[in-house]
Amino acid sequence: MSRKLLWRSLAFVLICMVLIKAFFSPKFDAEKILEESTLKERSFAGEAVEINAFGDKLKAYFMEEHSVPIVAVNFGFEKAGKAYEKKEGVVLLAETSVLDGAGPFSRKELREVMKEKGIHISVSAGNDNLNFSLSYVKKFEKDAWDILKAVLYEPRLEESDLSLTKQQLAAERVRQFESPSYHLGRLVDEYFYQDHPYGKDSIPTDEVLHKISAEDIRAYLKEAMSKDNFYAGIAGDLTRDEAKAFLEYVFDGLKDNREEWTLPEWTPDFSMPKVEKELSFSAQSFVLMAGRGIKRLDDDFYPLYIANDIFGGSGLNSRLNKAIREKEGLTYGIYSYFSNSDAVDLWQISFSAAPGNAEKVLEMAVAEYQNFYDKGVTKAELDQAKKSLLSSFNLRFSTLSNIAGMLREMQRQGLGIDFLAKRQGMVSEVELEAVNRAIKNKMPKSLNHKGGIRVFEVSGK
Amino acid sequence: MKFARMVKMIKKILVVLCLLLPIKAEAKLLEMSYFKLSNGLEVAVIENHKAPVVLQMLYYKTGSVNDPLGKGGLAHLLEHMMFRGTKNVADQMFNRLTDENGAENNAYTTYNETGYYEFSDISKLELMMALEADRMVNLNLSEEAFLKERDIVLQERLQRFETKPTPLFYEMLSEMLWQEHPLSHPVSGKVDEIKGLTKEDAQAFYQKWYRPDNALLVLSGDIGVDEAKVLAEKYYGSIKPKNEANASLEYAKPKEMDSTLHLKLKGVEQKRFAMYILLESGAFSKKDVLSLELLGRYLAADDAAYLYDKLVYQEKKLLAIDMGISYDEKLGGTLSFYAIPADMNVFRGDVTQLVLTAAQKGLDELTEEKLTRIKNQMLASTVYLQENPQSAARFAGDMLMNGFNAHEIMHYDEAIEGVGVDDIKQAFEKVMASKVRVSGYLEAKNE
Repeated sequence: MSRKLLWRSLAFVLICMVLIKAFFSPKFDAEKILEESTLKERSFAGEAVEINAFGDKLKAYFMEEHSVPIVAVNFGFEKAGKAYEKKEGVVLLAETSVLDGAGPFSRKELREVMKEKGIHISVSAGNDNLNFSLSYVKKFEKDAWDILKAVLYEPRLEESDLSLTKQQLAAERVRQFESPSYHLGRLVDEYFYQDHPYGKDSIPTDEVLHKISAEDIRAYLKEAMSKDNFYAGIAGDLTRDEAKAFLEYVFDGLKDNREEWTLPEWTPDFSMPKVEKELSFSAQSFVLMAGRGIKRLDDDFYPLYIANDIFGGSGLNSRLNKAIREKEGLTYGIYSYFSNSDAVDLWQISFSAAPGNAEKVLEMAVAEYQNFYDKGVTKAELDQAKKSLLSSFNLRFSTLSNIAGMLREMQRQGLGIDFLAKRQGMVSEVELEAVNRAIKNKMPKSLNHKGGIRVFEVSGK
Repeated sequence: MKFARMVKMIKKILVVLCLLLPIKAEAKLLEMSYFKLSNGLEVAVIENHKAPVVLQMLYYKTGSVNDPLGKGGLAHLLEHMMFRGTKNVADQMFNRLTDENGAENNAYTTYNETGYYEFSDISKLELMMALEADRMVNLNLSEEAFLKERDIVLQERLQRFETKPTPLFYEMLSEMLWQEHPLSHPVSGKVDEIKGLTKEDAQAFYQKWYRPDNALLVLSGDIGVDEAKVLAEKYYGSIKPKNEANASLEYAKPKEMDSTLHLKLKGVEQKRFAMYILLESGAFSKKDVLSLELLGRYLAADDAAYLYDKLVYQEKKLLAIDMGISYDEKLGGTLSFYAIPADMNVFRGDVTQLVLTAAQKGLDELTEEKLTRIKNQMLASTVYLQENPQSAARFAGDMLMNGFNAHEIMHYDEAIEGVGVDDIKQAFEKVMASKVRVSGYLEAKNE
């Protein structure tokens, strides 16, 4: 090739490259926008520390944050929830009535004083735990602490309030029959949990509620709460010393130890075939699939968390949502998720669809899953999922109650006080090979009872 | 991608206005600034530098009331289509880009607003603004994506409103109350209407209502007003206004009516009562609306409120009672009561009379002293706005969309302080003078 021709060819190739680049360069260049962004990444400054009170009998996680004069506290007691109760319905009644008057305040007075001072307290009990949240404005700190103490140790539980609460619960019990998701939950109770306390109806019958007295509730609270099953997250306008003072002031009334409550032995059975129930008034069918999940502290937790995110995670960007919602328009949404509880770790998928389409959606989910299980995820999908988890990290610090809730969960789940410092690293270190190996080792082989997935459906008309 | 029915909207406004009113505090309620770009886009900036995150909310001042007749659900379907690609960003890319950059995003449609939001790390805000600005003008409606999304919207309608008996009850009451007025139509549209919507309908709606001069941008979080000005100009500033005057549409005025609906539906387990009183557009001032908000708080904010105390605890006629107020200057609004009768005797009786008589009695017993306590309670919880960028944005955004200006929002505590017992009595008198009202009783249909 002559030198002249060589230069010409080179020039031609160059021009072509420039043209191709100009032609194909996207009009919307997300990477460029991010690179040139004037607002740069910044780490959230708060640091989580552990606080010990009463020697080290009681522990809590704490984050100091003085930007606003507000404090948020989330705390709870493990193995004290509805599945552990000795008398059916007592935890539900405790949860719904401890704020109906306490200490010097009647129900009405308590509402008024809390509203006037901007003090918020909520109580909620699940199967496993009994949880409380408190938030208050700094200038009413003393009032907030005193009110919380009264609620914990001196709930009024007056007969008139209690009987109205029972009547309202009875009404609510009936009202929930109107909801298809209630019926779906009951199918799971009946056929999956069976006699296990997780399978109890969320609101017991009138007869059962009727038997519960104020004394039963007081006895429950006394037995359920102690320093050794306590966990808490505290965030906001407090110093470390003040946080410790809070713990020692409010929780002084708890006994040191309690007799541990246990759940009955139970082995979940994922091998039974699909269960279905018809619901004539519903225009949609509701489907829930459930298989074995993963422990929060398992080494494969992050690989599988990411795998689930790719397969059916919460956004609209998952494989399931793209294939079934976006491409076919067959459902308003389809999601998969892991959950943990004292009795069982689950992986679940749920969706609703027109009754005529439910079977087709189920088949498509089965096929999507098989492809996912057999071939695993791709490097590009993994990178995208990791990027998402890393970029969303700061959102969890957006409010003090979010922070307090997160700290509480860190302590309860045993993630450790250095979790926040380590979390980004744990996500970015996840490798493709680990994800695909974890899918093969720990996920069901197929999306049906033979593969270890139970299917429950409430079908509409 | 949610949409709210009227009832939900009433609740939302009630919650927002009742819980999040500014505090008369030592510190300012919100660090809020407000400005307008030359193309007419309104911008509100709320500073909160606790965590390095920002919420971007873009409100379009349109919703189901602008659905053409027989095209119910169009505004809501278009909201869905906004995620399905533009001339510059391919279908599926919007969700992918927000997702991989760790942003939470969603949208909703109500009768008079369509809102889009992205909550993200500050380092991703510019991308979110670029994406939002791009879909303000460059939407690319493909026939294929449109048909799929129409199916999804249909599934949404079925899932949210046709799997339980109660939504139909409230929909029928709204329809009776509002008659020919567009507020009589559900935001979601009806199944047959949704099936008939076309890509061209969506295109025309987009052209008409989506423009900078019909929108409000709220940025809330770790951003200063100067930065916000630069960025708003950079991403939204070059979008041309459509110079379409916001033609004041004429809405059919509902005729006088006082009706009662007795409805029996399959699947109902709990008997219910509801009453809607129409508030005529233009007839209620901002002070009237505030007065009614305070009245709602006094009568039915929670189980310590007057109506609850009287009808639930003392007389044991009801198991629960709730009151709502919604009002839009141009469209009008509704004052509503919802109740659960305690037994069959009450249900078969005149619950309308029971509730209204008790409300009037409560009002007669209201003193300035009691009102002051209620005002203080209302203001006390607003301090939490300082710490939550999302609720602060919602608060300011909803107020701006409801016709309050920035100054009024910042000084809302003064407006609250300015309401006296007489103002509340006058406002309630106006409500009671309304000649358009419906009551409804819902019970089970036995097969």
